Amino acid sequence: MFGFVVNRLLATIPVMVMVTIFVFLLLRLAPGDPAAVLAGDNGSPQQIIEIREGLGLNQPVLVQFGTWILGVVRGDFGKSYFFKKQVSELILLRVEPTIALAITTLIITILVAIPIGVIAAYKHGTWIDRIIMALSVGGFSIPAFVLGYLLIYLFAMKLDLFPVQGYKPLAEGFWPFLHQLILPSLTISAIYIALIARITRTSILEVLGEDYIRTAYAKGLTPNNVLFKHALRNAAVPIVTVIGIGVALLIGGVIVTESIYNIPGIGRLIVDAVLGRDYPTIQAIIILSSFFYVIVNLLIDLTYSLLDPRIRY
Amino acid sequence: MTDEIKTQPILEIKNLTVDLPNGSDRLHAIEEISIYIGPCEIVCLVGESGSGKSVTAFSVMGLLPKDQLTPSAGTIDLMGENILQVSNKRLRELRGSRMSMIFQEPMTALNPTMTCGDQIDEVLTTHTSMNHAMRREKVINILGQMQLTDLSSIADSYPHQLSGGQRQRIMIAMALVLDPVLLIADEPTTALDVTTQEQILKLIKEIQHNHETAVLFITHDFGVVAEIADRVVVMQAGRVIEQGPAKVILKQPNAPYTKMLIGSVPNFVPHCRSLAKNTPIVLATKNLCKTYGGRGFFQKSREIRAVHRVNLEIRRGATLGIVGESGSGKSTVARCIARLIDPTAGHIYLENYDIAQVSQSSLHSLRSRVQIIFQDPYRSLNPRRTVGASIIEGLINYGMSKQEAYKRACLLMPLVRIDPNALNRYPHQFSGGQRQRICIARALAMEPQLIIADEAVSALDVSVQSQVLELFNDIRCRLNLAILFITHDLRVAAQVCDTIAVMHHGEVVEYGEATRVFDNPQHEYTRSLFAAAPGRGFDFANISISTG
Amino acid sequence: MIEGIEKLVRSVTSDYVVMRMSTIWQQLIRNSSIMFGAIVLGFVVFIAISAPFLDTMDPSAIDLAWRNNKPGVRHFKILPDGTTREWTYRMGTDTLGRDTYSRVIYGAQVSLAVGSLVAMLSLTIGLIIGLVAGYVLWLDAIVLRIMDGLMAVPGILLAITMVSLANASLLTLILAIAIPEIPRVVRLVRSIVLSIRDEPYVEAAVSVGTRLPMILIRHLLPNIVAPLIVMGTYIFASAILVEAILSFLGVGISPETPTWGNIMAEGRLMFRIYPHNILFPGIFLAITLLAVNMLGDGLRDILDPRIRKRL
Repeated sequence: MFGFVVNRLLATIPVMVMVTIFVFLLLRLAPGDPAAVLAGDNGSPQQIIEIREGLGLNQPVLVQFGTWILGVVRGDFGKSYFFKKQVSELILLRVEPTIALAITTLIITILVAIPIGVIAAYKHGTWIDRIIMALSVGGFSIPAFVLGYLLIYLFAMKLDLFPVQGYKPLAEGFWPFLHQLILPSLTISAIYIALIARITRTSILEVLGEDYIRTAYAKGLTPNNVLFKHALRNAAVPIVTVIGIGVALLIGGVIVTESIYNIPGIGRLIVDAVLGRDYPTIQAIIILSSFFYVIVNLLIDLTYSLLDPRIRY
Repeated sequence: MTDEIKTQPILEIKNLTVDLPNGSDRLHAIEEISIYIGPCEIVCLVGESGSGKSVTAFSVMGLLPKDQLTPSAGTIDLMGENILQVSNKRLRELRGSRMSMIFQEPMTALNPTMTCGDQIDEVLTTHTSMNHAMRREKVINILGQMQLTDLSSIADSYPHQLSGGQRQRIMIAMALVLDPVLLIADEPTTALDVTTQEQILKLIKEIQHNHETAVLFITHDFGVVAEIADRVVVMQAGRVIEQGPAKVILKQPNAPYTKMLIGSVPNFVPHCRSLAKNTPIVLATKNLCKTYGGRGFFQKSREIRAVHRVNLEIRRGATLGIVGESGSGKSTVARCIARLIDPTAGHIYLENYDIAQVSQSSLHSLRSRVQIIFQDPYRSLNPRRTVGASIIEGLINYGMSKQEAYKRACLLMPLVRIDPNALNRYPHQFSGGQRQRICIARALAMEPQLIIADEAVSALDVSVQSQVLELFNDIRCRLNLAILFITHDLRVAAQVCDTIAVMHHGEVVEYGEATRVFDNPQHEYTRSLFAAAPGRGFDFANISISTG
Repeated sequence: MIEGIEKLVRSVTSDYVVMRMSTIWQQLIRNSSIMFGAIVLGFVVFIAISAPFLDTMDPSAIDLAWRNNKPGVRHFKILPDGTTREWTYRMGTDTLGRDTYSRVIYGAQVSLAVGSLVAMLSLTIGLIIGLVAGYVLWLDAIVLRIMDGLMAVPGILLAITMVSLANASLLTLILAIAIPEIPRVVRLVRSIVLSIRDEPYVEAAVSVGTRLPMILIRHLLPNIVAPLIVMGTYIFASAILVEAILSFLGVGISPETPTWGNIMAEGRLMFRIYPHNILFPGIFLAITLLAVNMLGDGLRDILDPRIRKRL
């Protein structure tokens, strides 16, 4: 087990190295001069040159990469061109709303998706199954920004149940905090619920065809016992796997949703940074979110051995 | 005795008919079958694939898939209670407590995420109100009866941590823990090696005797029948062909179908064929080794010696058999010789070439000389291509024109007894036996010097198997081919092989002429292997000749 | 995690059955999900192609006199040739007085073009890389590392960055959306190759002397086509969505080009008063995605026998 953890941790290193090189090159080789952006529309050529030197942009690419990567390892992503602040500081300021959003989304998703997936599998072929599956295709197909505005229009503007936009930090009390988060979380959840409900249904169906399910029935177990004691546990590995892969969807959803609901999180930050050609911020966010994705999936790999005793490392 | 049984049957199936879903090739899975099982009796249900024997078993357990197979007529009385009429709740009460079932694949039939003890325990929690300590005691007790050792650690292990034989013992323990009156065993030993099979058969017999359980035993193997059955029911295409006491059915079968089935079982005594001693050697291996090894940082590297220092010689016109249990390395040898995998060390001499060492390009020119036929006829032909295209593929690879190759294929088809007009059909339009013939035709088209048959008849029903074996013998004689015959079935080996190599744990433990090996085995393992073969005292082929 | 996916794919692909073309056609027509998807998608394709003839005007024509109109407003409009005619703003106008109806109709062009080109591009590249990786062992390790790295970067983030850094032309847009999709295709193809190459009929082909390129074409490719078609429809849907998201966030194709995302981005400001600029393109987008996803689901049900067996 320990050997496996070390092995998997080591295996993430090449992935992260790939990501850093990729991100650095992507941003440095792309056209568009950040110095010119910083100088503004009225900047003189002299000013641009000065800014460029100040940022170290006139040094060879390898040197730039070296300084940058050394900083990254220490957690120093440099200074934002655009916001004139340390990037790490900037991210720390913005991280709370995003994490809150992600966690509420994940909770909603798991609470809704797994039960309806199990029900759909058990009622396979009936109208209940068909309705759940139709809703799932719908959830896949409705873009977050369409759903987001629909929810605002209905629940905030017409019914006045929720605030329209904005964010309240946890420090202002739990209820106001949650109240503000419910609509945005629902917005992101739609696609995630669709995904998890589907994979739950598919893998439970798969397991229900196995021989040991037949054995369980031959022992005289009730369908409920067969479903929850035998089927769900064996179907868990693919479900958990897809929850991990879905983190990528979550990150995409956060970017869009924060823009719709005007939430000052990482998602808004990246959009602003991209529009302002703020290299250090973009790099930091991409690397941190990739790191997050890799770590989440590593943790999920480790849960496999808890879920399935055949998997031992 | 028989009259007594008739008055008090444990299970009585009367005129049972089970319908197949619309659009199947026949209307009924089973039709008007009547079977009874008396107390303490082992009844063997024998038949080839598609005979409806498993459907019968599942009907009794009430485990038929509801929307596909529906009993439409007849009754199934378990101690006077008609299972087709009882409520779902009552049916659940009966399952596991009054009747229980064991299955063919002990690996897949046990839940991989629950410990074996818990799985047995579940039967007790479902059907009894025993407390935890009592249940544990009962679990350990029943495991003890299964001749397992180290009981509490077995109870706490997961199925994948046990061997196939141990798993099947767990299944049996689970089935018998509540002393049911009826045990249904659906091919319980088919997936096991012979030596394990022998132990499990003995166990079932013994337990059945001690617990006074009636057993419905489903099998396709007449060796097993001879070993275990009190009475035999023969089924074909959903109907009961004949039934009666085992001794009578095995020795004096009445129905032509039963005669044919029993006659098809290969004889355990090796054939005596005069071997031309000095025919040239087609292929020889010298110290052939194959090692599989995985390695990773920080993880223990495991090396598995699949094949170790194997030396074999195959002569023209002769058949060399490699026998052994699963994992003995016999198939690895075959795949090394066919160069589907690379040997780790050693030599494979094909005429003057060492095909273990030659370059890729010269290997390509040598490939046609060794051809291989695989076990599973359903997967050995590309389902998307016509069988004709599969047969001529090799010829075209070596530069023959399409028309000429097709002509050659047409000439070959009568040899494997298939209509040449069938060349433009797809594999799914053929039966298993026909597909295996087509694979043989594909191999023959290459005009090889050596044909490797890797368990090539193991997946076939006995009657088909005997025809394919005959075909092998026929082409060997006619074309003067060398054949390397890999099998786990000693009867089959006895029938076709001139020389035999017995493999165990990757090594050849005994190697010699078939008659010598069978009559006077030297190695201890060979002896135990032969001793375990089911029904070895029974000379099936001769019986059918004498009666028919 | 990756092993998990591969096990899933393998369990599905190793157990295929082959159907005749005629039975496949019958099933396609009988499957309601496919029929719905195909008809709706056909309709969207139709309006995209015939956009100029569907009583539209220049979708980029600004008319400051008629800003922010609700749907259904009529007025007399002077056409470029000097004549006047009565014009109905069926879906209203945006903050610059452009006709939303015309923009939505023309927007279908961009969405479909991006969707189909991204699908073709990522399938082709992914297929080639996956085939090679599945058969050439030493390359496999390298390719997998690169794909792992690429997969670790969330796709939308990568696309946003790439599009906004290069100039947002249609070509960079397509590349930026296609590249994050490639690893998924590579993994699919590779895992199918790995499961099929051990099939006895492939080994039989090796032993009758068939060389690698022919093995790939004759025996492997036919098994890959069906899953690839299914995956292609999903990529098609996802590409349309990502393009819309990019436009919506203001980092996509230039704002005067009529795309559904751009119309909605434009409508964001006045959403509370004039929701129609979000509503109409949103409905078109959602229905198009629904159609493509249902098409994909239907195809998967037909082409994947494991699921079909249980129906």
